[in-house]
Amino acid sequence: MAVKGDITLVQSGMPSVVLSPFGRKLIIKPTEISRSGRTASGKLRRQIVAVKHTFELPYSYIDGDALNTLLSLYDLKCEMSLYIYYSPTSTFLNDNGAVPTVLLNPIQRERLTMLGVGIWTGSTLTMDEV
Amino acid sequence: MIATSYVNGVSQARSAAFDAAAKSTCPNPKASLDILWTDPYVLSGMTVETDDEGHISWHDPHVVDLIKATPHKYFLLDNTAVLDGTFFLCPSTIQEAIENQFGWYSDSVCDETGTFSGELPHPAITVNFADPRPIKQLVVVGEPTIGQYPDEFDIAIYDSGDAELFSDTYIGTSVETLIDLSSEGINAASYMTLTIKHWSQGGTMAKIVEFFGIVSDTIGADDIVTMSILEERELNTGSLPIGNLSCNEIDVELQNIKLVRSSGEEVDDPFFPDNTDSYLSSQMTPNIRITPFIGFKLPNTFEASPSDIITTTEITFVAATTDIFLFEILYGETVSESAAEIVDKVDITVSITAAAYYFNRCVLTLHKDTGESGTCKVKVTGKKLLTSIIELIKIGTFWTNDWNVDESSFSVTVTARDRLSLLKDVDFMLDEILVDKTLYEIAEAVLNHAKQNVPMTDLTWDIDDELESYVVPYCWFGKVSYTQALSRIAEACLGQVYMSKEDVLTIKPYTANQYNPAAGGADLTIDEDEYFGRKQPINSSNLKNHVTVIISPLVLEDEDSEITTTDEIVFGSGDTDIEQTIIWGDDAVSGAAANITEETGITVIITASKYYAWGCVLTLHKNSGTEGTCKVAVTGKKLVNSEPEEYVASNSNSILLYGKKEYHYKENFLIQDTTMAVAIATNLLNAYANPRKDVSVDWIGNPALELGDVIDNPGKYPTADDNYIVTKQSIKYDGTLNTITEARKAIIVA
Repeated sequence: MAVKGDITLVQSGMPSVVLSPFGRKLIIKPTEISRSGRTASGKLRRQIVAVKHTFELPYSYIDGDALNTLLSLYDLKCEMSLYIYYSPTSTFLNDNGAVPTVLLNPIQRERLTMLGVGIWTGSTLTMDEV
Repeated sequence: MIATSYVNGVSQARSAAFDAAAKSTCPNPKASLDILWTDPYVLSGMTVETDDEGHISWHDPHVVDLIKATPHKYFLLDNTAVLDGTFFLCPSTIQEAIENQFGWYSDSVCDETGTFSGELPHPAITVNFADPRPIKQLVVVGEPTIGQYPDEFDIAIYDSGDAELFSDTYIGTSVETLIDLSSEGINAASYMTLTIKHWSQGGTMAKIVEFFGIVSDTIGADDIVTMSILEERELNTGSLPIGNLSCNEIDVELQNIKLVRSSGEEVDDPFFPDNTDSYLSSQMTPNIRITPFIGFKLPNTFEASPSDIITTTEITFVAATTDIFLFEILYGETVSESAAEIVDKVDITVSITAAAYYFNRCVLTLHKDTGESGTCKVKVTGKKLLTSIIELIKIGTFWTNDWNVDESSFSVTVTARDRLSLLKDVDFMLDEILVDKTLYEIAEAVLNHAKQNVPMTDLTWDIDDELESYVVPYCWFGKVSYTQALSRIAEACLGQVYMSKEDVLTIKPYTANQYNPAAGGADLTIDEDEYFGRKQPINSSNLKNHVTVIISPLVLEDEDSEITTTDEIVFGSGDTDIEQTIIWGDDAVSGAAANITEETGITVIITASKYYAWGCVLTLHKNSGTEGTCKVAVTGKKLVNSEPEEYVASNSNSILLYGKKEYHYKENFLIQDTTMAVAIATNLLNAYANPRKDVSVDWIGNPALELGDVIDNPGKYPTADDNYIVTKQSIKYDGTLNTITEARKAIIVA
């Protein structure tokens, strides 16, 4: 059962993966894909193709196990559904009123310590809506 | 304007909302592309075989021509036909079969229950493919006019080594049975069989109009990178746009990463010709039929009248309660003009004393007016938000040229042209000299010839009635392509030939540039709120005020002359009859007659003959003797050119103002008398003796606008006469829409 604040990724037909909530922020960057111009009368006309989002999860620190989870997800190199829970029953929906499908970008990381499973910093999981 | 649009693949009348969407501040263009990988009109090498055919059966090619309708209720000898005037005789000649879809009729007759049994095997038909091909979908169509169909049948598909790739038994429940085989992975079928076990009606034969393996895809906006369409009826050749025959063209760029078909099947690298995992690898050939659609996602609308949204569960008032605050009643959908009322009151009366309504919920305060304790419910009504629809217009039908795949690119590109390009490379000769025919009749003769001989059975046309007014004494094209013949006809009426968006071959004469305001307003207004740029080129090179038209009459020779004599025709001892075809070249001959000459060792007579303008087919019969030779001499009246004449007309006012601008009209054998020459010269001067301000408009566009439509396009300095005829459109879709529309100043007529 998801709780408010959970962020999960789901590959079709596979169980969902809850992303580590510790030490992270969520940044949603919408991008409007459009073309606009002013007509002879000066009127603005705009054709909006779509609004697509980039989702960023910058981790101030992340433990080695959680980082390995993110790296494993990236290694799948496939489309995944992104669930950002606002409440146990409502999630972020895209322009079409659907759960966004995303592709993951490579993850940069910087190791702070090797103790235990290791602690890492400077990692940001960036996901582009397809 | 195109009157028909498509919503979810279903045709309908174009809605007013479509035009409103095109004009809206934020239009949301959408597009899709239908690709028919297996077009029976251009694919060769399909044959249809059966060991069980009735006295009349036109299974090849009817069963694989994608025509699913029959035009008549046929008169069959199965005790169903009555002489009430509603039945039609079965087509018995090739000509009748071309004009009347019929299909396969079995010789076997089922019993009174519909079962095909007995000693004979079940009636079956086989479709053979010249080259192995994928099959993603099969269609089996019974007899649609009388509503009969196979209600139990077997399908089997084999490869070139006769190994069975697929087989199954199906139960038909309607005239058309569509079988989805996309998950079967059939990529190299060589032939397939249909075996009928049970028929929907007893005591009759099996009848199949269509048994065809289809591979088609609908490519949506997610897979289209760009689509550029050029449609025109006037070419920029540097001369006057007369007799133009123009092929419309489309350039398509599709993503080549992964194709997800409507069935859910996923294909990686779909358009790589060497990717054998892709069913398209063997399909990317020239002449694939593609049909683009462009339109708009219509703005969201609410229901016209309120409907029930939600009714709450029982709300209980106890004795001590007078007011209840309902924090929110959630609708679960977007609703406009919602309103709440109290219903199902038990032992109390309750009223709403305060209410706040939102798109997705309402907040209420309920007050108990009378009674001690009891229950009630709250019912909310309102106008629900309707699912927005995508309305599309068909932008033409095209056939592909070569596919361009670049491994370093994420996309594949292909250029396609319309049906006229298919007619461009096919030569023909009419069978007879057309005498005293109108241009309309001549055009029909050419198009009917194409329909029957290319063959292009789905060819449709729209010839302007104005062509009825031009009469040609003698018409003979010689051996030319269909497009050359059509171009000649267009020249003779100062017209143009083009394919409409609805895939109708259209021939318009000079009057297509005329506009009568009293007969109805312009089709579309494009005003300053809509266009980004507007140019008014003044084509001074098109100014012509002194016109020379050559009259080149064709006449028949007064006397018969010798047309040709064959080489020796050899009869061996075993030869009794020889069929001899004699072709005498481009000369057209009327009243031809063949005679036997130079018989050696035998006597020969002509027992059957068929004469055409270009030759004849004779049956020669050896009347006496054993071995020998003969020749055949043909005489007749040749169609020859007589001395050409010139007709000259000029506009003196224009010459005074702009100087003499001469134009020599291209010589055309269809202009054979002064009447036609005068009409051409007069119309030419009307159109070109004075400078004309045409228009080129850069705007988002309306896909329903088509060539020949009248636009009202007031510019920065509007006049009372800002009407133009659309002659060319360049439409580009890349998620957004951009259109350059070129239009010719309309000639206003009363």
